[in-house]
Parts: sequence; structure tokens; C-alpha cells
Amino acid sequence: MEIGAIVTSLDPSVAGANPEETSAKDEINALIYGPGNLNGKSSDSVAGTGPFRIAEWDPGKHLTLAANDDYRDGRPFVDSIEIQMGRAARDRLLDLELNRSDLAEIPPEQARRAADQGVRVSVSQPDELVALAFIAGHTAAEDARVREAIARSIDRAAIVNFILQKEGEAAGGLLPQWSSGTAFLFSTAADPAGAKSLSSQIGSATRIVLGYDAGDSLEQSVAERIVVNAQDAGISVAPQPVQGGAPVPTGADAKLIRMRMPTAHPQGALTVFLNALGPMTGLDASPFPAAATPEEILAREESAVSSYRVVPLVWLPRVYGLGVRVRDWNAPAPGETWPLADVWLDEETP
Amino acid sequence: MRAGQSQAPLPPKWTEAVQTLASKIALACGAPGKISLDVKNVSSLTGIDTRGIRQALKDDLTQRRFHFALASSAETQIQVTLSEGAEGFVWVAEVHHADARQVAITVVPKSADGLATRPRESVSLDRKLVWEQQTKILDFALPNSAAGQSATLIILEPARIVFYHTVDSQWQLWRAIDIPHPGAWPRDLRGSLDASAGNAWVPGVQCSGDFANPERVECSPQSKPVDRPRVNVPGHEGSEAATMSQRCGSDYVMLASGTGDWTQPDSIQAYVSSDSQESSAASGDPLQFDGPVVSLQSIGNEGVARAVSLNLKTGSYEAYIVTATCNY
Repeated sequence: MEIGAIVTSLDPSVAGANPEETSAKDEINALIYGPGNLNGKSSDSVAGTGPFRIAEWDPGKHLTLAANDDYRDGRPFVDSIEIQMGRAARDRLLDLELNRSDLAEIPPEQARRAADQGVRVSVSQPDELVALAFIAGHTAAEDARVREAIARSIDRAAIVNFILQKEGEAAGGLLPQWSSGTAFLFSTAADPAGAKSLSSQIGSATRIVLGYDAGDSLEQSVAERIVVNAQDAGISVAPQPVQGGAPVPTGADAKLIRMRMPTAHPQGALTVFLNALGPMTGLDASPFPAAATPEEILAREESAVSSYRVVPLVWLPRVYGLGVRVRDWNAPAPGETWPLADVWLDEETP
Repeated sequence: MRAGQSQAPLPPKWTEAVQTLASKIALACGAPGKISLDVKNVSSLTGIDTRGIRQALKDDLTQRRFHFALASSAETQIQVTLSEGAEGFVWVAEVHHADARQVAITVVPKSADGLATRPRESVSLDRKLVWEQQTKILDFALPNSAAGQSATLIILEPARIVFYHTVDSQWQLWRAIDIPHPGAWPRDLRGSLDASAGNAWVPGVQCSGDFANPERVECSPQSKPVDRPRVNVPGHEGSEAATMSQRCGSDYVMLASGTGDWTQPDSIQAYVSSDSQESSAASGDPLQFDGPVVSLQSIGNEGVARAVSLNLKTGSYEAYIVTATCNY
């Protein structure tokens, strides 16, 4: 298996240096410790509680996991998993094509190319939201007309069609249609005329600095698209690459963020999203009432979106390339991790 | 495809959900009056179920002393969308009164209690490759042949109509009729054949005659463009589409290609709709193709369609007969 992230520590109590490492670390730790055992103990003290155990570990480069014969839910089908870290997306794709790899994460925008090259591709429900978050307290971002004008100028269809190569869907709300069933109530259409009208009220001196993860080519492409759309509406937006891991970039008025659904259930997911967005944007992150009604959940979502402090852009799926030997792989649902304990390899397939 | 079926009663959970939604709608309206009701389905519910839910909702609101009118003359417009989420079906009512909008929602869990009585209804698609060639195929036809006579295959190409007939079970070239066209073709060149009516069309040219005797087919320029109605599947405008002549139950059945471009593999999906102008729901699994579907047309009353696809791997145009079978 190949991943792009570089994981330097498997200790659950040590935080990842950036979102990519954190995500990969969570996936690997679920294989080693099993769900519910990530309580801060080191790998030495709780080794053996997950479906796999550490056999070899070269931090940041290579990890070999061996099947745990004593796993409570049954020994995994595969004997071992070798995880190569820090592999660029292009190299991961090439290794899949040449059968040098059984499984690799693929950026959503590469899914179509992978399939064209004959790679088996597994695509999850779109469960990762890419959004534009305006940072509370910054003068330019505190002007609601500025936020709304930028929001109305953004061409989500172009992001989906050209940047994502149609792997993903436009997002108008904070929950995807397959989860809430109410995403259709949120418009995803650009409104360049409305954006220009608001822009004419603001004045040309306003300039927004938009931060994005310097190591994320997708965020860079999306940021550049927003710059163009905003410019067409008469608003100056300057992109600023930020080193991954910095929560609020210095000097930035807004930031691109990526948030993955922790659960398929709308209230749970919205709660986590608002908790993450609240401190940065000033959005209301107060807890829902017990047994919140669907109307209350929708109202909270509408309140967040209509404030324009967060502008949903697109929903991304998780995409995996599968080697010819891999059987019984199911793309993980929100809240689930790599189902490697259930996977087996067909050794008769050349 | 079987004849129409009578409306079965709704499962108890659905009836309860309809009552809940109607109650919320009534609360939002404030007082009984003149309302318009539009119900749209964007979920996996079938056309039959959609109609049942619409009728049940209408009956409940009638009992609450609401009167129905067209949207233009109603005091309150109600738009109901039958949607679907992770927790089940999500039925959403948008209540528009003056300049205000209220939203009422009811969630119907997809539990065995509520839905076990509903059989899985779907349309199965199948395809048969009829012909392939490197030259572009605009359309094709397989006219019925009398017993004892050789079969005929007609291929409409941009520059000619080509007739093949079977000799010792092999297709052999019979005759080719040139299609004169004085100017350049449009980039998105389309054409169609109606062998039974003895007509073929390409932009600016119509070919007519007895297609059973190709020597009697003649092509002539048409100064007035021939208006060929385009089939649109609600929600999938822009795709290649065809309406099947027969129905599943009382549902219209339509076929539509995917939404990709001409550099991508494509598919044909069956859709069912209670009304060909209303929203449709996908039914059954799609047929996959190794390239874009460039033409999709239905054939008379035979319950089949003809599809032309460009195979991106071989570069050949492939002509398929597509059949649809109702599984209910």
C-alpha cells in the first residue's frame, strides 16, 4: 500500500504535523489499536488490540504491519501490509498501473485518468467538504457584503468540471445530499450579477488575502479559481500559500478548509463541522437541543450558510486505486477507516 | 412490459409520515385556504409510490379543509420534494405564502417495518452489438424482413446510406446511396432513420423511398430544416435520450446517456416517471460503454431502442439494439 502522507510517530498522543499526516495516522492507528483504544497510550503498551501489529517501522518512510492472530473480531485475511509513505500521487498511480502496488489513495481529480489507464478505482460517497472560511475579526472579512459578493461570484460548476474532472459535486450547504436529503435547498449556482452589484457598493480598495495549504495542489487550484471569479466581480483576492498545520494563517482574511464527515448522520456531522468552524469564523457552535428536529438542523445549517462566514464549495469523495489481486475492498463510509482486515488477495491473478 | 397496476395502499410508516407532513404544512399555512401542491421525487421511490404519496397528502390536506388551485391563483404554494438521506427518506415541504417561506420536514426511516411490503421494482437493460465500423454511424435500422427473405441492415453515415443484406448468414454490402450536401456539416452532426416510413434525415437533406428496395431511395436537399423533436429526460437535459414506446405499469420508461463528454466512457440508464414531463427516477443498473453514446433513439412500438457508441479503445463506431425489461 502507498500513501502520500509522511507519518513520523505512531503514538496516538502525538498530534500530526499537518492534516494529511493526522488523517493517515488515524487510519494506521485504527489498524494497530482497533477502534476505541486510542487513549493516548503508546504503541508498546497497547500493541495487540487491533487487527494488525507493528512488524517493522521506519518513521516517515515505511511501515510493515503483521496480522494479529488474537484479534477479537478474527484474524485478518492478509498476512501483512507494507505501507510506503511519502509517495507522490503520480508515482502511486504509476505503481498501480505496473502492479507494483495493491492499494493506493488517489486524489479525486486523478480518478478519471487512473480509470483510463486501466486501474480499478473505488470511489466513496462524497464526504469531504472543501469550503472557504472567513476569519473573524479581520476588517475586510467582517464586511458581510464582501463575504456575500465573493460567495456569489464563485463558479462551483467550473471547479467540479475542470479542477476535479467531475469527481465530486458542488456544495451549497454544509451537509451532502446523500446525508441530509436537504442539500437541494441550497443553491450552488454562481450569481455574477449579484456579486458585481455588491462589489459596486464596497469599493475597489477592498482586498482579501486568501490562505490555502501550500502542500495541497487541489487547494491551490481552487484558490486560483476563486481569485479569477472574484476579480470578474470587481473584488481583489490575493492567494497566500500557508504551510500545512497552521490553523489561522497570519495576514489571511479567509482560508480554504477541508473537513471530512465524521459520521453519515446529519446532526452529528454538522455538530463537528460547526465546532471546528466556530472559533475561526465566529459561527454559532452551541450544541443542538436533545433530539433536534430535522427543521432545527436545517435552520442551523441555513443560518451558517446565509451568514457567508463559511462558503461551501465542493464535496469530494475518497478515491482508492486497487491492484488486480485485491478482493472485497469496500470504500470506507464516513467515520470508518481502511477496511484492510476484510480484504484478501487473489494469488491466482497474475 | 406489463399493463398498468392499481395503486396499492401505502405502508403504515409512510401513511404516518404523510400525516405528520400534512400537519406541519397546515401549521405553516396558519388557516385552511386555497393552496397549490406540487410534488417532485428526487429519491429512489418509484413513480407508483410517488403518486401514492401525492394522493395521500392531497387527501389529508383536503380533510383539513384546504382547497387546491393552480399556483397562479393559490394563496399559498406548496412544493413537496421526496428526497432521501442517510437516515431514510426525507420529505420536504416548502410553504410559500406572500414573501415568506417556511420549510417542513419529515424523515421516514428505511426500516423493515415500513418498507418490507414494497417489492424492489426496476427496469433491466440489455444490449446486442449489431454492427461496428470505423466510419461514423449517425443511426441504423434493422427493418423486419418477411420469412424466407434475407435480413437487411441500414447504416446512416454522414455521406451516404448503406444497405447490407445477409448472404449465407453474413452481412454483405448491397447498395450505397450517396447523400449530397453542398456545404460543410455542422460539428455536432446528427441524423436519423425511420425505415418503416422510408425516411432518413441529415441536416439540410432528406432521403425518401422504399428502403426495402434501395434503388428507389432518393436524397434531396431541404431548404427548410427538418425539425426533429429531441427527447429530454427530466433532470438529465443535454444527454442523449429516448422514450420507450411501452410502459412499466403506468410509468413512462426513458433511456438517457451519461453526462460526460466525448472523451469518456459512457452509460445508458433507464428512468421511470409517472409523467414524462415531471422528474424521473433511475431504475435498475446502467449499461456501460467503452466510449460516448453519440446517438440514442427509440424504435416504433417494438419496445427497443438503438444506440450508437464510439469505442474509445478501438476507434470504431458501434451500433447496438438496447432492450428494456420491466421487473414489476
